[in-house]
Amino acid sequence: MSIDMSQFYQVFFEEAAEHLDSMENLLLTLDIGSPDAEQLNAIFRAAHSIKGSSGTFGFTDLADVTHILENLLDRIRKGEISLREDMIDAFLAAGDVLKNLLASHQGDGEADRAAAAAICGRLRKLTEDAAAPAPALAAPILVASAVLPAPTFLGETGLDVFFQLDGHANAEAAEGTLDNLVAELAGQGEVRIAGRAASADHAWHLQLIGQPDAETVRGILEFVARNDSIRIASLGEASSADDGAYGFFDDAPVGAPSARTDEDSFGFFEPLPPVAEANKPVDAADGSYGFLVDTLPKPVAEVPAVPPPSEPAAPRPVENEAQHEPRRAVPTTKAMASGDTSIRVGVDKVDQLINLVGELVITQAMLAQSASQVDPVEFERLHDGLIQLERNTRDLQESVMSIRMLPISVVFSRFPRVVRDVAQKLGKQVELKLSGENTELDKGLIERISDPLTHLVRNSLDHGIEAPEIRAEKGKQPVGTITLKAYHQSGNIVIEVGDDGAGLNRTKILAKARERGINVHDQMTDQEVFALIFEAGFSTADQITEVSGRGVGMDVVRRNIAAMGGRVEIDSMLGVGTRMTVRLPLTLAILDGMSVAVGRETYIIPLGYVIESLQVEPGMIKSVSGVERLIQVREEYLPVVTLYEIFRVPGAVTKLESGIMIILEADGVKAALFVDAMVGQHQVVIKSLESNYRRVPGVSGATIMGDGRVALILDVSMLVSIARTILPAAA
Amino acid sequence: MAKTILAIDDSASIRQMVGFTLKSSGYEVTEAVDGMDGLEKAKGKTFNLILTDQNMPRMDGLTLIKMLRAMPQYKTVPVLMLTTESSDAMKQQGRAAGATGWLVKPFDPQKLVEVVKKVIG
Repeated sequence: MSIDMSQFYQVFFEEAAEHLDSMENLLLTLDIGSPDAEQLNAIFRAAHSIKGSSGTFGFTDLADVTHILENLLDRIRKGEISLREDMIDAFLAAGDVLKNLLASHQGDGEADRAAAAAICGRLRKLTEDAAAPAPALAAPILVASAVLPAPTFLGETGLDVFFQLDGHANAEAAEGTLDNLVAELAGQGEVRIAGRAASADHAWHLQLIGQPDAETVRGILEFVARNDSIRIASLGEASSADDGAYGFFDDAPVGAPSARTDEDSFGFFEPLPPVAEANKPVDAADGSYGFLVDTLPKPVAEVPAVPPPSEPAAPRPVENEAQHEPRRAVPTTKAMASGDTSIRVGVDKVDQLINLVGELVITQAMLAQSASQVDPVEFERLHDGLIQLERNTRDLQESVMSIRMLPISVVFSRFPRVVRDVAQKLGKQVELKLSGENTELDKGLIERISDPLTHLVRNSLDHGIEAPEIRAEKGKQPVGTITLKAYHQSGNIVIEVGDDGAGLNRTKILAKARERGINVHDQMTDQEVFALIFEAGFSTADQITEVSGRGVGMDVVRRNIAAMGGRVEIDSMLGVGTRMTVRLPLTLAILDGMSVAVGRETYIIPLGYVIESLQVEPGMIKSVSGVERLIQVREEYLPVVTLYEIFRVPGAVTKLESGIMIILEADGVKAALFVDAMVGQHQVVIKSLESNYRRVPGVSGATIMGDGRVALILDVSMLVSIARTILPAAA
Repeated sequence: MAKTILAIDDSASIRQMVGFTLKSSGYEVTEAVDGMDGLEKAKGKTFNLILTDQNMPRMDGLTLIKMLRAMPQYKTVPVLMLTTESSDAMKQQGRAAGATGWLVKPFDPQKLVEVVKKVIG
């Protein structure tokens, strides 16, 4: 039988990644001075588990690294080596190496063999160095357990003896021979018959308690037993396979006699001769008995599991010759999320479900629209049914959407590491505080928010938090604080990145903006000024650092967040700190939109961008060069974007006083969008225009309305930026 | 009737591999995620063989074996430990707890079937 191991790889990859993540998190929260035993155990278990399964599935490179890692962790856990800061660094680095190796096995990038070798060396050195100062304690124990002869069991010493009687087909004759043999052997110690052979093909098992001499025993046995069947081992070491890969305890309570048929009632608890033959076809004929006697007293830990010839890829962690370190299991207990209350399902299946529910929502809306044209009294039951359908559809949609929801802790969990590494690099002391990790958001958003958030956090570390001595000078705690907070607010997910650092300097930003040729004026609000740091190529850092680079990135951050339908705002107070607030929609698949009519077309505006709508009075319109381009709303002048012009819609209202102005805000800039009329407010299911047609400037997607017509969803950022090109021209 | 095996391991991939391998060889396999889960499942019915990992959260393999041996219906049911540990100390502990034998990880599916066949046929 051959089993294709690759079918288990996916589960292994996910499992190993989870273990690596939890290992990293645990390492970061570990108190180096007095590490928590439970945490150490959990870290050890993560490494141990990866080692076990990576070996089984043939990923020997992973097994090699985890083996050395596990060794050191094991000794720390047992108190043989005390934990040091540089060990944590090495463990974290080992985690990175393992992630790289894991990714390479999944076809994602090249495995960095040099890094793997380097970390193995580093861990090995740490183990040796740490063990060295206390040689009197650690070393002898290790040596002793490594070279100790076969152990005594339950305080007894002696030999386990296995053999098949020579030429006795008849059971009675065998019993007679055995009685004589037992008498002979009695001189060597107390003889126990541990297992009787039911036929000549099966082995006898005797135990000699006391101080028997193996060679004398063998000499006695050779008179009556088939020489190649004799096997003598120290008590307790008996009946393992000759490669030590498995074995049976002979005197453990077992179901053998009852569970087995008569003819082999106990043969399988003495698997040695048959197994030896099966596994070692070459050796079996001649040297098998000498080999077994020589091999067995050695500790099994030193005998690598020899892969059977049929399985060339059979994995085996590479033993480090320098470390004769026994691997022992230590009972550990820790609560874990129960594995059988959840199932793993491919994201594509969930997406398909969401898509189908989206279609259902549309169908339901179409039905509702058709039904609104019939008499509600006459068709009362139809109406009631449709109301029920609407409710069910909405509940179904919510349930299905919730499948894709993940807690933001998935993203937050990477930050302890980021903060630690960056703070170390910058020589700053920073404490990270997380809150609202259980806030859920769509998986698609989780994946895309990770990079922008990382950038914001790095930015806070680099430009926000001051160096410890500067903080002390200002009378602040030398240890700065970065706060990551997530919560729901009116249908949005809000994520805040806060720091208690230097704060943003309005004057400096304005000066810098002028230097960069950005159009600014002193009357701008703080929010507007701070938003300037999101402009491309803007950086107020006096020194360009490795961490935050040269201001490339903050503009990308804003663009990425906007692409998710979100926005980012900055609040800051000089000397006190900065807070960057990211607002995201709950999901990418459904949008709260306002539908507007232009000519015969319907467009959807994402509700998040809409500030207000108003009817234009003649006095509000300001013409620039004879073109009506600005309206005055209270104290502000807003550029007008005429939708019918942009999309060249025929038959639209062209007179500004006759239509509706919708005031939009995107990226901190306001504009007035001119449309014929407002139609209503809907939840719409977003369909990608790009994947169904092609990308159209000014349009972010499409949806199907209740009446079956397609409506385009407007890309408000794009429209506002069109307006901005009008503004300077007007000014 | 197919022989029943309870396979206990906290690693989902190992569980899957063991389960698939033994099912392919005609055994009926029940999986459990740790010692505690294994003990619960063992109470429900009497299996012909129990395979257990040693190092697991909540309850480890040795504790599980001791608790199984205390149950009348598991006095004589073979229990094998699937473990990366093959040190003598572990074996002594295993024997003392009442394990029937051990199988060292990593193992390949053929080896697993071979050993299981030896024990329950």
